[in-house]
Amino acid sequence: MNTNPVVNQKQKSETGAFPLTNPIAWLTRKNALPHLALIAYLLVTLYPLVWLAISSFKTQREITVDPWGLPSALHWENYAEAWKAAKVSTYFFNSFYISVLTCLVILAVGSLAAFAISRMRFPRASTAVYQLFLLGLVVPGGVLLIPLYRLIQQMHLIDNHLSLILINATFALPVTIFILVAFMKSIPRELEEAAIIDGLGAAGLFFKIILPVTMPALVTVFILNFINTWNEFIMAMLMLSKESLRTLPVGMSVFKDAFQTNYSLLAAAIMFSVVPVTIVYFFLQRKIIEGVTAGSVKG
Amino acid sequence: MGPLKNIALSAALLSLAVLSGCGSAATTTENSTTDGAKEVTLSLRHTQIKETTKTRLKILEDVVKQTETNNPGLKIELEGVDENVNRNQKLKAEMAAGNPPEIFEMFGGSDTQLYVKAGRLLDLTEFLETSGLKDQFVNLEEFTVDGKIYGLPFGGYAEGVFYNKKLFQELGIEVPKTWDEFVQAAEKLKAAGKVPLALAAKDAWVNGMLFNSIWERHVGINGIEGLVNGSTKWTDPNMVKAFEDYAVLVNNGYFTNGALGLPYSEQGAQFLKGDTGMVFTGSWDANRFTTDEAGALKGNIGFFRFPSIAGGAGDQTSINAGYSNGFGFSNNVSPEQKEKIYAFIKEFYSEEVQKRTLLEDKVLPSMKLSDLSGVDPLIAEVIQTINGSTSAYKAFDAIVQPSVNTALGNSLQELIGKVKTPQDVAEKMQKEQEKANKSNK
Amino acid sequence: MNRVMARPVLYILFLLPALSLYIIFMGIPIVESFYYAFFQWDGVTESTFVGLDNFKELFADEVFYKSFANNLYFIAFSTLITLPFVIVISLLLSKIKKMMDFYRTGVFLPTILSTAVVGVIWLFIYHPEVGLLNNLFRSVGLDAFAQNWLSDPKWAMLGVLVANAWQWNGFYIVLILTAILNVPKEINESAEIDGANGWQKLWYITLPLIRPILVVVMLLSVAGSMKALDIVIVMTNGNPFQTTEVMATYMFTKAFREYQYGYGSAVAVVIFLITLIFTWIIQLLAKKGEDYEY
Repeated sequence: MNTNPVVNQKQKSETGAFPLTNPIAWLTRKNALPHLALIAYLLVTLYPLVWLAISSFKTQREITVDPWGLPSALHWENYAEAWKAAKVSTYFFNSFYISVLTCLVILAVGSLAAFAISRMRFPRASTAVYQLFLLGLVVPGGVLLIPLYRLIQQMHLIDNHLSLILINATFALPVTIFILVAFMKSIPRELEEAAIIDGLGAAGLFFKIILPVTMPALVTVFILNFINTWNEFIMAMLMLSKESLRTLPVGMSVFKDAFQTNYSLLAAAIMFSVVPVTIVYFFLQRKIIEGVTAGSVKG
Repeated sequence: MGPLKNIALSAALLSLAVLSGCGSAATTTENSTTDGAKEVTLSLRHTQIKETTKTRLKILEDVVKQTETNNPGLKIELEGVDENVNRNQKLKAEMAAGNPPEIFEMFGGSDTQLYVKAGRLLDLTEFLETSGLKDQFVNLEEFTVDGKIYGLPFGGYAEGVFYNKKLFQELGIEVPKTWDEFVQAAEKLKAAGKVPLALAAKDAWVNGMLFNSIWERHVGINGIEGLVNGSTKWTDPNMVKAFEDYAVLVNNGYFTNGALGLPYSEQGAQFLKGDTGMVFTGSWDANRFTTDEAGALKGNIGFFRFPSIAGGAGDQTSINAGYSNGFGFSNNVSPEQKEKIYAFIKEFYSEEVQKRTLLEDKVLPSMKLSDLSGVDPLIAEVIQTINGSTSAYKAFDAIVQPSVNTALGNSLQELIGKVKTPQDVAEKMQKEQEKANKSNK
Repeated sequence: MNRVMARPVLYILFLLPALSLYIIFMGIPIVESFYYAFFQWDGVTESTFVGLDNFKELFADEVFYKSFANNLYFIAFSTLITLPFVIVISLLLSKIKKMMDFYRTGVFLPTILSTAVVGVIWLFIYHPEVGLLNNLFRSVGLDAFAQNWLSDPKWAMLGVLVANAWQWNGFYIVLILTAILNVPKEINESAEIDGANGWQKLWYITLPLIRPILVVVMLLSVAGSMKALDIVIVMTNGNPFQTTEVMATYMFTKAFREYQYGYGSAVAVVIFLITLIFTWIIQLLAKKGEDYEY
């Protein structure tokens, strides 16, 4: 992406001294309060996750007897056992490619629709379509399980990852379209007019102008939908029976049944699921920021 | 619905053609017959996908392998599904559509009755009689509808009190035989700063277990059964007494503090921590109580039948025991498949497999076993307790309507939360019962 | 130029993939399940048409009203408490340059977890004996503040709501933050030249410009509150004694546990209609506000 040297310089001049070298000077700066507030919020937010990470090194008995204490020793074997029992090697891959494909379908289908609704000149039809998608947002999902299962059976898509991809993509469409429409609406008309004067058609406008400018929103939608698909359990259980096809949440559910929960292995399995996604998120959110800078420079 | 669906379906297939770049195309699962032995495929749906059910799955897999070896051309495909998803949605939808797997795990009682009513289950009566298998089962009642047998339990359970032998010894408590002794024991435990009864009842069914036993002591199994046809009422004096006794345990503070916010798994954990005297639960927990999680308590846990209640109308030395976890079989099968289903049954329901299940999985056998050697002492104690009981009765949730079951769960929670009196609760239950009886749901 | 953006064929082509997916995998199941709202059906055997009986029964059902009230509590909490809080955090985040990767990843982390895992964590936090919350109160001598969070009807619903907010705040923060960062720098800069201070910029520039996304967040949060199911199931399962029951859990219990699929579908239809009305009200209000502004 194009990084603007001017912007970078400006950022640098605003950041000021590093807190550890001169804390008092730092505290008196304008941004001290936001930092303090955010750090307090993060402590509360992250502590449960830190606890989860610590628990993944404890034994089951240590967790039930002293849940907030430290482990007597680092029980790495939890990870080995969880890896094996939750079949992480197979299920992780399944989950990963299902989630990525689902998100690509959502982005392709959703951005086209959002573009038509937000930018093309069919106000009446667009309002109707928008409201139609709203229906999908307000319908309680649980009641759809049985009709959906039967539909997938009739389509002979049971035990086929395609069923999950299509269902998850469809269920994510309303939210996706809402978000993308909101972002696309906020693009100034002048940008569009200039492009059309330059000779771009609607399709050209979509691919060359709107998509790049909404990149931060697209990445955001990608992340959100990726996580939803990544964690989806009930559809995966309903539509897939074959062991080799299962997804990671199904694998993780083996540590928790109606009668017992194996907390230490569950915690280790959660780490397998959470850490990679966190790393991916860390880099993607940078992309959002870069995209925003790039987009606004162009605009 | 019909035409709309067809149009939509063809549209769906159209868009599938576009998208089918990802994922394999749908495969047809028709059985192909080649030369030689006739090929038969059976799907077997189980729910043993949890870490705690590994042993049970292994046994099932071994039986399946053995059945395949003994029946050339037979292929049994195992598919594991989460228990709740299978019971609430998957199997139900298949039952409605008439295409369940050939063999599936199924609960006795209301589920079995429902599937029989829908006409989906294979009637096993004749096969079980001619093969002589029928007499080898302890009890097939929950899988029997109108005198015909539609399913076979692979194990049983009994409910009673597990207790911490160490604590009982330290405090000089004898195993209670009567309600009064039970209350005294609890009082002693409480005085010593221990929790008398572990309870974790975020899920309403957990409360139902202990109440079921108090209830039966007071009204007898006929009294419970009578509710459904209206011959007995929740507001009858002895019914109210059952609620009152339950309230005694609550008001004396014998249960775990904050029990209504704790998940069931917490109950066993509390008991195993060692500062809890007793826990009322089912024999399925015995497996957990004999693992390393028990720590110092391992080998120091005992089991006794719920004590008798003087003046009650029930059988005072009976025990709540049932055989409701089992297999059902689809009647939508070819003659060859049916034959192989029978072959599987013979293989799975054998004394050898049952004994192995008892030893390794610690599930009470559903068939009469002559040899009980090598059994874990705690499990042996449970079996002895059952054998020493004058009768066994099934759990109330296999008798009353599901909506009444939910209502009872709530009522007991209300007693525990001390927001309703036993009398109030009884009246509310009677209302719910009448509503359920009327609509016959 | 209107011609370019008003080509009907292109318009239909752009909408077609989304609409066909939507109609097949959402439309058909919705119609089918709503159809059963007019039947008495156990989910397996023959169904009987009962007209509006399920709805009549529903409107006389105390538990249903109780669960509806809980949904309203849910909405109130998410829109009046969580949402302003989330906006403030997003604004703070947008100001910060130092350690921003860390902050932005940190606030988002809980959203990565599945609801089942959130349940496991928060049950430990709320545990009456060994729970983090009570331990914290006791360690600073505030023993009186320790509660049986999830088993006390006074606290249970709040307990669920806090766990729910913890899980989803990150989601909303990321949405709002992206919108804030999307505000063209030039606009802010020219406002600065005109002498606008921080508050004025926030009030007259940032908030109006991120308004569309705030409306979306509002819609999502109201719809989410009305449909809330998983979080309640894992936290309290509607208990103690149905005091945390919400409409969706009630629907689930009826349809799947009590074999009253028809009745459960009727509950679903009612959830659907009420939520639709709420979202329309939000949209109307949002439009109205727009008119006043310009």
